[in-house]
Amino acid sequence: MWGLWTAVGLVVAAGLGLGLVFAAADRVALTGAGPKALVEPVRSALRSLLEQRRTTLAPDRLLWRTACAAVPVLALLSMAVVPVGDRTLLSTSADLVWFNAMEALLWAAVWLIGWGPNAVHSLVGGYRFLAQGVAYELPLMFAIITAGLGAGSLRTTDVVAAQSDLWFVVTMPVAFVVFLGSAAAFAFWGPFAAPAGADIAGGVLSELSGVERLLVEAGRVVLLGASAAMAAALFLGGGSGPWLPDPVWQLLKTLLVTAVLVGVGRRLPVLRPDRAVELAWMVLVPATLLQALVVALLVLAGAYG
Amino acid sequence: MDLTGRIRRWALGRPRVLVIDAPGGERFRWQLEDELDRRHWPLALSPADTDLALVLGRPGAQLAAAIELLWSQVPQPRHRQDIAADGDLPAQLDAASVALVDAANRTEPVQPGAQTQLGNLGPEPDDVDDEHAGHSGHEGHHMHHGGDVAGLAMADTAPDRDGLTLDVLRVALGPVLPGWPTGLVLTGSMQGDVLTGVELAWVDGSDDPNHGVLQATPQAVAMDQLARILLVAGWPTAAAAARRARRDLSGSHPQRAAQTQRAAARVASRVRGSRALRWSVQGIGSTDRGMTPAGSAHAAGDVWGGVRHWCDVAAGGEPVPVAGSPRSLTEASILLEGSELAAARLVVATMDLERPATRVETESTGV
Amino acid sequence: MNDTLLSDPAVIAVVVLGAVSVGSGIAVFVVDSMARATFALLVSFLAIAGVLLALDLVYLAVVTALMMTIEMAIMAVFMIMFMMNPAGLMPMTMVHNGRGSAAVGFVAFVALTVGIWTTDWPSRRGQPPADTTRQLGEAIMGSHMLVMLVVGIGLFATILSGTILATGRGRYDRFGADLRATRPDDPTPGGLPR
Repeated sequence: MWGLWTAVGLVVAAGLGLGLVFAAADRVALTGAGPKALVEPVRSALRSLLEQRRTTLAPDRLLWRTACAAVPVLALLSMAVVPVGDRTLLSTSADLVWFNAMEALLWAAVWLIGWGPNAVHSLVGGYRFLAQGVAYELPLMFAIITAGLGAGSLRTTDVVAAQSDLWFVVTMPVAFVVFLGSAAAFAFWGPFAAPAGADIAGGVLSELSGVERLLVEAGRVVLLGASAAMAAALFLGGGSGPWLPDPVWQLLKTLLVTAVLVGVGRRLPVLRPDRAVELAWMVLVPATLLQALVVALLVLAGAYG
Repeated sequence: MDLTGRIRRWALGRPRVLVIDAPGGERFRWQLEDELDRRHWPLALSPADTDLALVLGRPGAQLAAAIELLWSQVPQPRHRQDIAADGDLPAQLDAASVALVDAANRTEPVQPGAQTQLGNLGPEPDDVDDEHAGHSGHEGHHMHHGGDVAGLAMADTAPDRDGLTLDVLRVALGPVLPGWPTGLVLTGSMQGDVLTGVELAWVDGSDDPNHGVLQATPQAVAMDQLARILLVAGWPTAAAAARRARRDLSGSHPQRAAQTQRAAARVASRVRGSRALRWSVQGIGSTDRGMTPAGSAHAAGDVWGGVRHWCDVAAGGEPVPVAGSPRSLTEASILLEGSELAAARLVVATMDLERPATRVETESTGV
Repeated sequence: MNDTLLSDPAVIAVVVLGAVSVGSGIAVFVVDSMARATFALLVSFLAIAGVLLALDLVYLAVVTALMMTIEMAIMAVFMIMFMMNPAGLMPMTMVHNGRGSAAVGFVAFVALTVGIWTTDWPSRRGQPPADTTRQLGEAIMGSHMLVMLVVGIGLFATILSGTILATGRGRYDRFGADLRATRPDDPTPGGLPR
């Protein structure tokens, strides 16, 4: 039992740490203030803790508050199947589906955050998120499953082990890119930030203050950090690499993915959902299906050993 | 100083600022935003996001009432300050920051809360800057209860743009929103996020005879407009670059003129050359929807045409009025009819609206 | 309980989650807002997913959670999207035709209960496999392949025909009577160049 709680603590700490790293990198990219901006996420968190919680006129308080708390919980739960070192907290025969299910549950939570406070901007933000979620769920699902297909297993540690000869990113570049893009879409961040856009005064976040805002913001960055770690595990060979010990390699790869994600994401404007959603349905879904087909043929040809 | 106080001071060291530029404070807003950028104090997007509310210029009666309502939605700790145009700006911001920390140190009684204050505002409490709307009738066999809930009136159903009968929500956007001309109020009906029955009006005009006459070069004005568009379009890094360029353009450094021009041209070409932005906003607000072929060379009357126009002017080109860009509120409201909320925000941000110099009475705003 | 099958914590989990599932199922009809009814139903399904997890059927559990969440979210879109009533401002009842539905519910309950207690359930043979996910996959892709394909295509056809019946605009509205228009005439253009 003691071992279990240590492991849980370790995974929570890893999730929060990765989230903090992502948030810090994001602030640096956003403000252009250099390394000084690295502490800004901590400052924002403290500021939120000092702040009063708000309420609005006639909200659905139960659903609203529950949803705010659910966002970081789901992000940390998705971290449970991400390999830390060469182990995962929760190793089941369906890890990859678990990761996906947590993101699906995030839909419900974010939509409720938009619905709960009974406010126009927040409601519009909630619906934008749902439209985005529906559109990016399938590409994300296919991208994740493609990695499982290559490994012949839905267990993340098996997927990492299957890449000892060749990283999956070589044969699955489309799935890799779609995975990262969909992670950004589910965290409504960067070019997919329309649900929290400035044109709707912050959208789903527009009515949040105090600890609730902190929970939601923390959940977003933890999800992004966990996705970066998952991308490193599923497509970049996890901890494999010369000279250095495995966990160091894995951390380096995760940091690299984070840097690339932040660098690209902050270079782009928000893509309006009515445009981006069509792209997801008409281009990304067929593209990820083709990617899965190619990988399936490679599996039959014995390319993955 | 004790540790808690020190932590508190550090945590509030970069407060999020809601800038409210009342008539007469426009040019001064630029200086304020430059100073905020220099200090890395972020701009707040909504009352919930606000620590400091800074009021520039002299708000008229209606705008003052709207600010009051907005203020009632800002969570503690908070501080509101009128910024004097002739004062020392850094000193005023320092004072505001100290006052904010003081507010955090005081254990103030809990604020009345949005509910009571909103409830006292008369029949149309949803006519405020953002939200508190909702309340609808329901179709079919659902049970109907009473005419209002929590003091909010119920809405009806009406046929929508696509011929379905949907619930209609009466909404009002403005007079204070990020990237929105302060004082402008849009009232209309919303179904989903499609606006119909759009009416635009300015809240109380200003008595200031210089009001509306911006003492700046067209180039700097265009850069300001660009910064506003980019904020609404969701491109914060480019918006910050545009604000920096605006600062240099409006400053008087003759020895650095060439450098300033180059920087402005760089910002403009970055925005103009953004394929993602073009893809995202092309065709929005076009008077002939969907008729212009993609990538058309004409500056169509859409948001992308507006962006390109402002980029050209901001880069130092000739200020040619963009084809089909409305200047009056009536033209603008016709253009916004049937558009989505996001599209409407972008269109308004792109427009160069003429502000009335005289006082106008508006009855549509409940604030 | 059969202790070779389930550990004590698992038994407790099944009992508690079963109660949660039934309780939130009842809540669906008691609450007075569509959002709450939808999410009470989701809680009920998630409790079922928890039961499956306790039974060590990980894949089924996770897929149940995944699909039901998506389903409820889409249901929320369709139920509430057209109602501009955030936060369930206006209370409304979640039951219609009370007497009829009570009768149907009672009959169904009796039939199922009688069925459960009168069926001669087979006793256990063999051991559970180490990897239930693989076994499930082999069953679906092997002996039950035909059934799953028919069901899958049937569901897909239902979705398509439902959408076609529901949409007011067809290709003639978008591309003209002779279907010759190069660009579809849509109220909101999408993101693809066409």
